[in-house]
Amino acid sequence: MKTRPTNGKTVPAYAVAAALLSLAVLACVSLGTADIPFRDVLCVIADKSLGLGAAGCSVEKSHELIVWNVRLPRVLLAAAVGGGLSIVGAAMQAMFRNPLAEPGILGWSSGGALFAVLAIYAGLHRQWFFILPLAAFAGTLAAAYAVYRISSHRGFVENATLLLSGVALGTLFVSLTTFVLSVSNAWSMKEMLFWIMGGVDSRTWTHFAAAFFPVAAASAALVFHAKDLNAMLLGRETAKTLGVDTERATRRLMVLSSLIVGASVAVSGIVGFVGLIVPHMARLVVGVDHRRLLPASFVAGAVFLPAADLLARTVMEPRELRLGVITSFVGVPFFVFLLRRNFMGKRGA
Amino acid sequence: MEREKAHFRAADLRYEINGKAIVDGVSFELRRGELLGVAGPNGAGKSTLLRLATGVLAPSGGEVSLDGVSLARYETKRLYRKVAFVPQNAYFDFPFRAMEVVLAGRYPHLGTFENETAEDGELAEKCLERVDMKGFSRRDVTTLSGGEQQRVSIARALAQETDFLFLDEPVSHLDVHHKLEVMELLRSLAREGKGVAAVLHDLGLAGRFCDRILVLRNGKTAAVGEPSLALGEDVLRSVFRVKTASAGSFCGNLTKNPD
Repeated sequence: MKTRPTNGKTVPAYAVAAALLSLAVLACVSLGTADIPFRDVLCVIADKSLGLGAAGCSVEKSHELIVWNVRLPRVLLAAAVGGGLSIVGAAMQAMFRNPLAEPGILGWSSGGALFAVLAIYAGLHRQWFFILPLAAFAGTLAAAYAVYRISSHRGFVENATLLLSGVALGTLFVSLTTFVLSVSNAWSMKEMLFWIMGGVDSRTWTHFAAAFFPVAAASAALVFHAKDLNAMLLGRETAKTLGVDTERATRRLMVLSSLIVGASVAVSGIVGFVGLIVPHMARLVVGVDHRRLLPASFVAGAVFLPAADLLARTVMEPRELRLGVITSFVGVPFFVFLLRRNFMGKRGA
Repeated sequence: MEREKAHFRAADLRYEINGKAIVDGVSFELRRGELLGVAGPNGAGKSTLLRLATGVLAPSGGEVSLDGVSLARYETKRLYRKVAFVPQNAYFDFPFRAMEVVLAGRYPHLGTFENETAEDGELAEKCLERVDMKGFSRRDVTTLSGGEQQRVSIARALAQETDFLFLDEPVSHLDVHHKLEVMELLRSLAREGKGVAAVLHDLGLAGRFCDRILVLRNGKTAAVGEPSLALGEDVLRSVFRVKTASAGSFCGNLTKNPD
């Protein structure tokens, strides 16, 4: 393994990331409306996942159910979705060279939601649950491609057009999603809110599996494109003369990203702004080089979203807020800040 | 002997957008060790010509060849170990460190899973020094001035260690001092054996530093050759619509102030 002149701290960084992630998951599983001793949480997890048996601790059946069947899948799902949406946000900002790009804002997530809802309307998910992430993947990819085609000319993507067409198509997909839900038998306000204001409530291990495997595989594949993303951030012409086939790379990156976004949306609806906030925060800590930024964004997102979900289920207990409401509360002010800095800061300076 | 023939050649290049020819049958050669200026009025097709020459755009007609082999037949990374390009307005909008930008010039030399080595880092430092940016390696490029950003881009292209270097308006954002400094750098790169071609708007600089000048007008070659020929009075009048006050003095008015 060759060393990189700009970074000699790879191993501690991964240790810190793993520790942070485990701590966040444990904390989010331990805290909640029902009071469960931390010891019980550890016992259940040790027993169920490592087969350590009830090694000297007896846990109430209800506590075991809450920890293993309710909270753990929910928290792990939030971690997978948060990590996935964040790594995609980081990749999108580089491939479009646009600091405001994010799966929610560019309409990708709502494209995924529309196709997932269509699949449910057609009853396909009853045959095979994993048809949902697949359908959402198709919808996300279609939305991504449409927005890209509208805003690109001969391979150049125009920043403002990209954002505006993303927002416009996103609104259309949300309307269509609402329409499909309105005419379907599954119609309920709760169902509608789930898709449009996303969340990880009442999720099972099946939901977790449906999101985790595509997210993990595609995220790993994204990391292989880290140097391509660095080059693309230097501009399309420069990237080409550094040996990156920018059109082909963009297509591949869109497919991998759509896989992640589709799998996330299929089980947690539209959770906006995560892909915007987290990569910018991660960039402040590890810099722009995507060999560090992509893994860092994933880990930061996998900590951020379970924490946001913890807020969603505790701040107004026993009521739960929608996860998408929390992320919007944080995300919109952040978006406005970036918008002003990017489009006005340059002219002012 | 084989080495002397080996060079960069563009033959009868054409590039059309919606049936309109932007570059219309331009041929030129670039030898190793030569500094070629590309001049012409706005919209003459200079930038497009450089994009065609570097493989950023595929020509509608004609061919570019490098050491006798068509550009289209080169494996991408191999091509960009031989040819580097500094595009126009190479601005940065994400907070890379200058060192990270320059190190990106090593990408064509690295496999997908390979990272830059310590030697790459030393090389990058030297490239920054050559563009008078020593000590800037850890600076956030978005905080640099336009001219400094331009010089970081040139350092990135130098780090590619190519035989041929194409630059689109490399001195457009620079102050007089750094203009002359970059032109002297291009001159010495040519002396060291690189083939260098640069789009230049300042005819005075072009005439003073370049071995040969290619003048374009409306996508066609208007003149090509040594500065005294290519920037002769008739070309200045008919292509650039200017005239000189005194014959022969056109290229000799600027001198660099040694700090």
